[in-house]
Amino acid sequence: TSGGGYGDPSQKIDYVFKVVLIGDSAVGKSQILARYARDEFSLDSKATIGVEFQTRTLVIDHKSVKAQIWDTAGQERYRAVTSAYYRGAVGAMLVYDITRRQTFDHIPRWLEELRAHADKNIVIILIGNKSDLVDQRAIPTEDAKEFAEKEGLFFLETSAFNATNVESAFSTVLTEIFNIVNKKSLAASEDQENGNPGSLAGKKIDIVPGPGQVIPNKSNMCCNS
Amino acid sequence: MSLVSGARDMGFDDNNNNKNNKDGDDENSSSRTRADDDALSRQMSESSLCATEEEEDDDSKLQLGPQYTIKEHLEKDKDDESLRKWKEQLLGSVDVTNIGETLDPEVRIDSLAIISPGRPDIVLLVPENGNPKGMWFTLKEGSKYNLKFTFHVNNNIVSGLRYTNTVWKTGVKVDRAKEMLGTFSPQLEPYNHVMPEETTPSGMFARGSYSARTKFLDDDNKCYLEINYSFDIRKEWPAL
Repeated sequence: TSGGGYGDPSQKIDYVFKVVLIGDSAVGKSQILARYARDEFSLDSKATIGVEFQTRTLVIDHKSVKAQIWDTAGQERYRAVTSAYYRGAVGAMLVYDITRRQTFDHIPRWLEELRAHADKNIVIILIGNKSDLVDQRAIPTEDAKEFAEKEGLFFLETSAFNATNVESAFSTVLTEIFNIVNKKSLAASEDQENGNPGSLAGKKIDIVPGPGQVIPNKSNMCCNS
Repeated sequence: MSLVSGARDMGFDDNNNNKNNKDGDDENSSSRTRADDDALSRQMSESSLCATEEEEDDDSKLQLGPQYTIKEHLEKDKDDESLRKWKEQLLGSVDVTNIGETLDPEVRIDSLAIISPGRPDIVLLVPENGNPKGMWFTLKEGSKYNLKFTFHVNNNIVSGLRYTNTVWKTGVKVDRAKEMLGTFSPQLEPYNHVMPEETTPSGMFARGSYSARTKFLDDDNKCYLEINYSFDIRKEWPAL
């Protein structure tokens, strides 16, 4: 995978990117996340600070990037996914179920909300999950592709069940975020001869964790045996 | 074309408890069924909400899960420590020791501000009855501006709060805009939401006075505020 796999937790992290999963319930958001993150840090992130995210560290262009991926934990069923969920997100995966028309019809509503709450340069990928259920398909690939093009979104069909495209979905989003941030970083270093990524705070892409986004230093409690 | 006449009933709509006697306790049924029931009861209730004309409504078929009070939210999985903390995060600064048992959120729009570069902000307070008298404000043609809303949310989460704006000129509808503000938990401090930048029209046909109707609605099409007002667009900003 693209520099993928698990980072050494003691290594220096150059960037932390918050990515949110959204979409109707039962489209497979948690399964997609489980496929990707494989519990790198879930043991403590959930139980101790009550934040439903998982992380995976990867290397892009010799920089180490920690993807912090937030899941709704089913709260969308109860209309409880508030502005706090989106705060600080620089990437989003907008998921529907290719076998249920309604989950696709709701995508514009999720997209509106995402755009209302998140950074305007957020990188978004539309994901049609359950692509393994070929016989039950209700949404033609072309329809989703057309919608994604119209809205300027990346698009992939995935199967969390058999792992198809899950890696590429995340790496598409993370690489794009990285490119945006890195471009800004280069611009900043031309300005001030010092491309310290920390100095990006307050730029268009905000990589500083928001208030809801506590990132405790876990390297001493984990997990890499 | 229905022009804004004074005939309509407007203003706050909050005690319109038309929905939500439904399914508070069915979390075990399938979400599909619940959503369908919900859509049905919502359709029945919509008609009684904002008293208005043919709104667009591509949104009315949106099917969401049931609404719960904050108290119900927190009690639902109270034995799951992790989930409980997660909900507290989503709820933000809700005072969990003094939590709401009211189902209907209360959304109070405090002010609308027009922010245009190089100009002092035009802050428009919403009158008690929702209907500003006379020309509410004047804009210069061809100016860039952002709208900023300041509002309070109380009692419960408001889901999918959005703003719609319809503008008429000499009786002809010239513009209709719709923009999502989002989903907000109740909190003491006001929320500020800045809308994307827009530009006022320009040219001799653009100048003159307009009437407009602004509404704030949620996912259930419940209307929290409707304002009917007039404004004009001129060659220059008014003198300060």
